Amino acid sequence: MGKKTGFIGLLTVTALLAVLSVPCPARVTGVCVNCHTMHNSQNNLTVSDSGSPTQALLISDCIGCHTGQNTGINEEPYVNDTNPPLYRTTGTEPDSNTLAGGNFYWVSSGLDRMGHNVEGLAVPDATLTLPPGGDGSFVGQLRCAGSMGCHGNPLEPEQIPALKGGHHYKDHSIWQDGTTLAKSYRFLDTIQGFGDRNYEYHPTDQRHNKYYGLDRSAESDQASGSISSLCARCHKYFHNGTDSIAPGSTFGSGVWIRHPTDFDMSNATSSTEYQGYNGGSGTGNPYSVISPVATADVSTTLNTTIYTRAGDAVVMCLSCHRAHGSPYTSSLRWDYKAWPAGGYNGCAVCHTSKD
Amino acid sequence: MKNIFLFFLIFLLSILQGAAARAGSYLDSAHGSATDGVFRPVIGNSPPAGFGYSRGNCAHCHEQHASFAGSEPAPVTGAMPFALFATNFDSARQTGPYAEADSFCFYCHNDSGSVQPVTNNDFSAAFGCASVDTTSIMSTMNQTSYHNLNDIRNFSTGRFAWFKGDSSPCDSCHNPHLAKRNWTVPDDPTLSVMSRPTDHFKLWGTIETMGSVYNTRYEPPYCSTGLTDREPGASSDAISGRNATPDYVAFCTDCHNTTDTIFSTGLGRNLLPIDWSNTGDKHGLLPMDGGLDVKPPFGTGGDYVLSCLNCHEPHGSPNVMLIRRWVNGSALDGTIATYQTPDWSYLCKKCHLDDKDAEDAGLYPPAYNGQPNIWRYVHHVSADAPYGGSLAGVQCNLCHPPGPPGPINCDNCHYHGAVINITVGSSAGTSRRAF
Repeated sequence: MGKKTGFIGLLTVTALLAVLSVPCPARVTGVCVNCHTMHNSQNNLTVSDSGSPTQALLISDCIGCHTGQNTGINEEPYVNDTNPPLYRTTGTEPDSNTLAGGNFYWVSSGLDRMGHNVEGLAVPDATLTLPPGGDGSFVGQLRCAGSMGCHGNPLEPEQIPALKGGHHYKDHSIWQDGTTLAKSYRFLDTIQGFGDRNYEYHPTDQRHNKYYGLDRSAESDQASGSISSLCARCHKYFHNGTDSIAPGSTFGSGVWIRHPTDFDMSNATSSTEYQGYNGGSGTGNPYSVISPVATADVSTTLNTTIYTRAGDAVVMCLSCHRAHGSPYTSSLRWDYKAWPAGGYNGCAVCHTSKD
Repeated sequence: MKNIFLFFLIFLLSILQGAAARAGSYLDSAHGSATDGVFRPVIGNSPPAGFGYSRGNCAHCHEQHASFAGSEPAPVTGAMPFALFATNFDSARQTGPYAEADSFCFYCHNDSGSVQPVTNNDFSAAFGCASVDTTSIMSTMNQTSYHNLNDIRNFSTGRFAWFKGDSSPCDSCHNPHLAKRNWTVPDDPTLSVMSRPTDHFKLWGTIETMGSVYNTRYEPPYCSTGLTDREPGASSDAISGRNATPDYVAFCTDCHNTTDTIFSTGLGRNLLPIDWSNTGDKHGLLPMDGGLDVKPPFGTGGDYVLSCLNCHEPHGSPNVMLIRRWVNGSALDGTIATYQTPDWSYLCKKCHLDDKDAEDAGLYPPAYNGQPNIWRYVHHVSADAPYGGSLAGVQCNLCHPPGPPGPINCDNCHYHGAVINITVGSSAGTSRRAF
């Protein structure tokens, strides 16, 4: 090998090292090494977070790649932070740095009631051995993905294989119709929706996730594809069943025995207070990112207002809860427990006379 | 430039005004108060005894999922209508006495409520200056007469659009998200506790007062025994009293009127219709006929309109027909325990002159030795007595029992809607509105 060849080789290795030394960005765009390592070895050092080879030649797992502090320019959504995130009052304030799902920071800090106790992030819940509202079929600790998780193929027991075909084929510009994992909202298999490209970092009524929901007429309707139907996989009876939400066959026409979801509140017969959603008058009310609603509309046109078209005021689990976690009990979007002495009454966005 | 500024200012004001109009009222209510509001210990106590929810929080009454931290807090009843922690009303309880589990409200409005015992006195004490008797709504209702909850439920179901089969009968008169603590300042009607069943989502009586509707035709009765102050709550004078008294007439006649039929399980019949119009009862808007033998603060020349709560308790009473135990500044002489009785005199004499009162007033000659709770003067002697003049040869037992004429049941002639045909005496051949 001549001097010239040696120089080129050194340059190549240096460049490769430089590329590989970039901290785990977990981007689905860009060069492969952003996420993968061929041999889990570089300069005779392991590359993966765990030190061991990882499935799909990944350099990290879900948690490793999605841990960090959101800045608004990071393309990968950080759902876990090792430092206290800035949540503020509702997680939507201009100086907050959490995303739509909230953050696992609090539950990972030992506050069981403030998020989902996901394996690898938090120890099993000290109180809950089964998901509240469940039918008892989900046993074990929740994971990010797979048969024990929310994301990916629910038939696949392993987390990383469960995401196969997801990240590489995601097209954020189209309505996520749930027909494939890549076309599922946030890789939540079969769930529909249209996600904000910034994952609701500093959301506004003009820029936010578009959640899919259905205006049901019976609680036996599992509302396939809705964001709330995903929650119902574990918290079944909080969403559907028999005499779980409304007694008899009175869903939508009688009284609720649990808070409804997948129901358009414009059809509520008990009160007109919902017409005042988010300060509106019942027509074209501004969308609230504090207490958002889902819509049955499957276009990519953002629902910046509600009471604009049929089925666009659908109550959902995420109207009140953050999927990952929040600083508040029950992973609520706001500090309901401290209200009215303190806290915040996000309920009043819909229950406008209860403030 | 000036116009633009003015336009902007008006626009801004209109927005702010709109926002104010949209604001809810729960925080202003008795239940929503962060200092006095609802508090279920198992929800509000600090962990581990409770979950640490703020007083007044919805969770003290509502369980959005019938589950807290994976299980249902006490009382464990399962998911209940309106996501309440217990059933609103057990319709199997058709009559009293009531127990806590019969009505959701009784978990608190109960002397020994298992959730949050709340002290409430009857109307006579809270607004009428009487000494305290019963100390909760449930104990007040568990007396001789009471507003039958199941009857209210039956009446309200299908009649008021907002009232569902699973609604609380108490809600027919109260909106728990609006009702305020009127008893704390009884002469402040803005603290109204009631909502008309036909207008459930609004407090009633805050500005709709007996004064604003009837002006001086409503004479607020005396309150305390000194006979100087007025209801409600020892108001300083008649003006302040009438302006502090909600328009109970409009409120009660939302149901108790001439068009709606109300069945009473306790009485086993429909209630008498109430006509408070100027063609109805004299205690209502119908002008008096003849004279008026009354006590202060009422005057002999007045065409008065009474408030329903001048005589009736809203929840329950030791007397029949929810008759108050304290009227016009003093307690009734005794209990009116049965419907057909001369003991109604105990109520009537609070405002009208019995023989003793007539004698004391110089209207009834001492020679007659006027006795309390005897009513010969107004029926036979007074200038407008229905049975005045000579009754020689008339059979007293047309009205009185055999033997020396003694007291008769007042309710023979005096009841809502009563019109009596007079067949003897100087007024024979006429008829008289007798209520």
